[in-house]
This record gives sequence, structure tokens and C-alpha cells, in this order.
Amino acid sequence: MWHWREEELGRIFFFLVGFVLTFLKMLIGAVVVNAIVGFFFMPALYVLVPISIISIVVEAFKGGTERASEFDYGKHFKKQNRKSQKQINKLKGIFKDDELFEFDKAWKQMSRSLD
Amino acid sequence: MPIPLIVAGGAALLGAAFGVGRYSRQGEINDLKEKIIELQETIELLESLISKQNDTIRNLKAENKSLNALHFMEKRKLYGRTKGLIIFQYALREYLEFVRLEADGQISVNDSEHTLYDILDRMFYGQEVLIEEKGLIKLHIEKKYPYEIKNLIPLEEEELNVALEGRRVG
Repeated sequence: MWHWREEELGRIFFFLVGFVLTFLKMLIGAVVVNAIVGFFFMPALYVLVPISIISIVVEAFKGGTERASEFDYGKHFKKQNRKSQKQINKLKGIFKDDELFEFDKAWKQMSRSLD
Repeated sequence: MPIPLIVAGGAALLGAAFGVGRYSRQGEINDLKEKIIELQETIELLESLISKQNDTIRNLKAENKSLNALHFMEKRKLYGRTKGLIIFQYALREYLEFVRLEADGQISVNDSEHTLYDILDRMFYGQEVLIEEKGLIKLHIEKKYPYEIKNLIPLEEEELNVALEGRRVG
């Protein structure tokens, strides 16, 4: 059974968003241009409509892939990891050596005295 | 519509929900109460430990004072050791207070205080604690007792009992 990974789902979602947005944008533009040309010279639409359809589909795919490339899951994940690693390193460095030595010693001393 | 009846029904429902919630935590509360009794039995031991530490802190401070500015490395070291001991004392106080608050149901699992309680609990029973977790404890203690930590004021022995009992005794 095939399972979609989070990364793949993210890319597909971004692709579809880009595809639909570019498709609608191109469609509106093509309808306006074809309507104007058709109003003055109807036979030109026999050539213009197929060209418009091809260009709409091609541009929509281009828009989709561009949008999908924006979603770089690995990069996003690495960025988050770097941030949390930075926080962990900061927490590690909070105790100075002498402080930590005495702090740990006190806990051990307490455990011993409670045994 | 009989409004008092609705109010009474609502109150009964709330009471029942509270009762069920309380009952579901009863086992945990009993464990915590037992833990408090155990801690109360060891409180004198802990107080004597704090008392001994306070002597050590006094000695460390005196030693630090006796050194002149040229021994800045040693002074720094002594300051660090004193601070580490004082952070331990306030962390212990905090732990005892957390045990009481947990038993009273005043700390919820999602609270950041619960995380601190977990870490302190492991430290108290000598279990493994990560260095970053110790860092979290230090941050919390420095934030809660900024004056005491900055001025290296040690904990008074009776503070442990106050933390565990939630009131001053005597």
C-alpha cells in the first residue's frame, strides 16, 4: 500500500494551488483577448482558441511547478531543527562549570544522606 | 420556565463533573499524599543538609572576600561554586513546593511547571537528567529568585517546611 509522505503531500498541494491560480489568470486573459479579436475578425479564432488553450495549460503547469518548488520541506525542516538545536545549545551553556559542579555535587550529597 | 430548576440542574451537573474528575485523579493524589508524608519524615534531614551547606556558603564567601582583585580567577571560581550551591537550595525548595501544588491539583499536565516538576523529581531520586534540563531549572530559579541568586543569599532551613506545608509553622 502506497503512503503519501508529508513532503510529497505538501508539494502536491502547492502545485495544485499554483496550477489553479495561473490557469484562472490565463483563462481570463485569453477570454478577453479572444473576445476582442473575434469581435473584429471571427475566423482568427480558429487559430487563436487552440493556441490559447495550449498556452493556458502550459502556463498553468509552469505556475504549479514554480509554486511547488517554493515548498522545500527539507529546508523548512532543517531550519526548524537548527532553531531548536540552537535553543538546546543555549540551555546547555547556561550552567558555568563551577556552578554545575557544585549543583550536581549537592544533589548527590542529598541522595546519599537520604539513603 | 422554572429558572431555579435549570440553575439547580446546572449546579448538580457541574458538581457531578467535578466529582468524577476528582475521583479519576484519586489514585494519583493518594500517591502524592504518601510522598508528602515521606518528605515530611525526611525534612529534618534536608534541613540539616541545608544548614551544613549554609556553613559551606559562609566559608566560600569569606574565602572570596579574603582574596584580592589579582586572584580574579579564583574569585570567579568561588563565586560559581557558591552560586551553584544556592541554586540547588532554591531548586530543592521549589521541588517541595511543586509536590504540594501537584497534590492539591494546582499544576496541570500541560503547564510548564509540570515539566520542571518532572525534572526536579528525577533529580531528587538521583535519576538521569540532561544538561539542558538542568539549564531549564537554573533559568527558572534565576527568574523566580533573581535577588537571592544575584546576591548569593542562602536559603533558610525552615523555608523547606514552608514550601512543603504551604504555611509557616511555629
